[in-house]
Amino acid sequence: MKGHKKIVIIGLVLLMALSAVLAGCGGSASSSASNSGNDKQVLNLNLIQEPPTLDPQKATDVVSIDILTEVLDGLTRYDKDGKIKPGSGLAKSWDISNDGLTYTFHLRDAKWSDGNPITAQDFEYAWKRALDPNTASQYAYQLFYIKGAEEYNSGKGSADQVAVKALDEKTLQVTLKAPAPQFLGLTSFVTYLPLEKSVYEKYGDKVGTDPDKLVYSGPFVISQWNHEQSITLKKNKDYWDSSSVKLQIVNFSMIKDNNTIIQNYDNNMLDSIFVPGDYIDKYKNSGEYSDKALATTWYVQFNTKSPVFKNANIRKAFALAIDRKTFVEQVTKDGSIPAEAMVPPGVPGYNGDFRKEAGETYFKDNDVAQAKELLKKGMSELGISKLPMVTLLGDDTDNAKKYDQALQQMWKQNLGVNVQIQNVAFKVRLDMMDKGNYDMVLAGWGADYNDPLTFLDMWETNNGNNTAFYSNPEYDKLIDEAKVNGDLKSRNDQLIQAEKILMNDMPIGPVYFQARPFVVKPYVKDLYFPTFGSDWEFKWAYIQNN
Amino acid sequence: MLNYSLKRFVYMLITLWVIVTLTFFLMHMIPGDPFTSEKKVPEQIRQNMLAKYHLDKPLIVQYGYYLNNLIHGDLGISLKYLNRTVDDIIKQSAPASFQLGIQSIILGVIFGLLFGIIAALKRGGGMDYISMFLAIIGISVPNFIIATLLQLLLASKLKWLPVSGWGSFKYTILPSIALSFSTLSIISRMMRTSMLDVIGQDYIKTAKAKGLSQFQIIWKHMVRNAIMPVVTVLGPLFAGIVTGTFVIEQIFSIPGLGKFFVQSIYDEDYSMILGTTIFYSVILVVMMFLVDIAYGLIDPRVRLAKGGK
Repeated sequence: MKGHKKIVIIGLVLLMALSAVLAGCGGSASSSASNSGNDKQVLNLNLIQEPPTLDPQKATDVVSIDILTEVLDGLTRYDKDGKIKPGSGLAKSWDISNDGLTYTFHLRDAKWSDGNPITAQDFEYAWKRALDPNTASQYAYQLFYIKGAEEYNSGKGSADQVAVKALDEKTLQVTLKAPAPQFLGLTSFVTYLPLEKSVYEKYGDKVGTDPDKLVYSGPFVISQWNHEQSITLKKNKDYWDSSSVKLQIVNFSMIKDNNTIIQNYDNNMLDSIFVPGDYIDKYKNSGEYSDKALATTWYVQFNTKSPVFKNANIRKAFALAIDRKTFVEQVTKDGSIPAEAMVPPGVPGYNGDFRKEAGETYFKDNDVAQAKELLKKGMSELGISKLPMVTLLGDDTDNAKKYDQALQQMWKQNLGVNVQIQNVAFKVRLDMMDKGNYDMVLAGWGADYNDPLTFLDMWETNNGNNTAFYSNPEYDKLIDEAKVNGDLKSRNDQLIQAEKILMNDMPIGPVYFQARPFVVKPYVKDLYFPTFGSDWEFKWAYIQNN
Repeated sequence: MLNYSLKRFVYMLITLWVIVTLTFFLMHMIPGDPFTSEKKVPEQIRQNMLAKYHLDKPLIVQYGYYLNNLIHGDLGISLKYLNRTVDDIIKQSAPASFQLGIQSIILGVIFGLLFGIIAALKRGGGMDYISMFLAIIGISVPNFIIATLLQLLLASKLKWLPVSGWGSFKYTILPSIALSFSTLSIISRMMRTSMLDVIGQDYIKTAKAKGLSQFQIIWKHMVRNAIMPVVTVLGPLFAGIVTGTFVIEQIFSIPGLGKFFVQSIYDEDYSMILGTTIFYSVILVVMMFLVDIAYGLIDPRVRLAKGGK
């Protein structure tokens, strides 16, 4: 019996040792937590994941863009109100030729974080680097508005034939191949952001893999980067507009787990987060809650080559049978709004909002009577009396499954149609769409730039993104004309016409314009949430009364 | 012994080669490729990208490239984290997973053995039920639930420990405990069964008859004989845990290797899929080898048997 006791005693000692360790650490944890509550100009945000690359010409994803746009200034920069203004970026002014083709940018006196001046040559070099086929930049096409750019990138031209030229240290001249009102906005986009030429030459493919393999021209510099863990930004003292920047430190975590994100926000370890779907009710009435429109449209896309959905009336029937109001209120619950058009609100038209100029809606939401009518008509056109089983393709995320099931339910209820659901991994879904191996899919499209064209030119015949395989010569003609039209009024009219045709043929049935809910602690001021591009803009943000 | 080790080493290499080959061809069968993206890029840009990363070559040529690089110790460039090499990513991520894994295994093994031994000695008693109850909880409740509960209670409510993150020792406590539960359960159950086996043996009676102290009987005769099956599972268990766990690392936001095993497949990041697979396989194979050696150390009969051959 003695031996038994010994073992029990050893066990107890071990348990006590463990609890002592626990208690000891507990003390230090809580004391450091209470020290962090102060009025320092420190902002804590969650990046969710590691930025895949901080090489401006190679970045394509929002996480990388979040960091890059805060550490690099482009020729232009979106202002607090979401507008491009002369002097809001590195170009203090610009001239545009009468034909809308030649842009001459005049650079301000500004310095890289290593003290060297920022020159027009840096821009010329960066843009040509993006286009160089050897760089293999995925977003090289963002520069294809420039004359000679596409030719160089596809190996049919040379770097010298690209119409971007540093006239002197402070003057950059760019010639476009066609007028493009979105070009000014694009110069703030990552692919257009330059680094110092010597940095590119020194680090090559290693540019942006660590903080010392970058130079900075934006409001902040990267002071620390623990891969997969955290990034710390610190105020850039050499920034030309550093007097506007109040934050001293911005800490980024990379927390992926939804519950952990919430715990961190509730414990004041994060100052603002995007609220995951399941937690919206928890914050909705907290006063810290808001949502931002994302300039993203989600729609049911029909495969117009499929035996059933080649018929426009059946496509329309499926689109009209969706109850969008219920969908956004009961299913997404994230502040998204019902979509009865392709181009989301907030995208500029000729004088104001394109959505207002083109009309808010093209059809009635949840129009069950009309939908039934159209389905009958469509089926008789196809000469069938019973609809074959159709499949809705979707991602294998929790949200996507929920959304797909809601749609399935609505079609069952409103049209009496049974729809099968197939959930697959994201890249598999994209591959199936490319190959036309689907009937319907719930898909989304976010703006590449702030212009209706980004939502409309994708539906041209043979456009790589047109995986509905939609084709209408009249539509193609309007888009082709709008693309080169220097008269902005008639260009806008052409785009409105095009959207009208699209909504009449319905290769897609719009479902909702996406919003993203977020919460911000009351002590954080002037933190902006742009509708597209990066998640936040904190150049002007500050902490008050914390 | 040298001969034996050499033979084992050659087998290890062959095993690895088979794993690499299978993984290589299987992963290329997933629809899409690393550069499949929602926004289509012009065909020429796609070609530029495929060419840069040699994905435009026939599969068998790519396979040749890969094996050649692998022999030279180069795992290639990640196709998601462009510009970062797989070697770098593994080197940066493995230490956190390793530390976490070791700590949780130590916790799990110590308490697992303890519970198992006590349960066996007190079979049918209160301690037996308590420790087996714990073991069943540990097996049947997924560790992410235990993790979330620990996080909510000890970090969020009581504020004794940080909610998530990585840095000093205090950050490792909750994830280590959460992770140790499954090890603890497996080992305690196994140890209990195997102890019960041993307790009934004749040599235990002999030992008692010799008048050995209870402690000596338990330690020298029971535990030493009963621990063999535990050592066997410890090898693969160790390999699985120290290479990172997706869920626990995600919940506590730990910069470990676990997520790459899962995420690289979704990203179709070919070099990363292969890199993580190879890394895991190497550790697994090495652990099995070490387990074999450990047998000999614990049980002289194994050494004799091999010597006899």
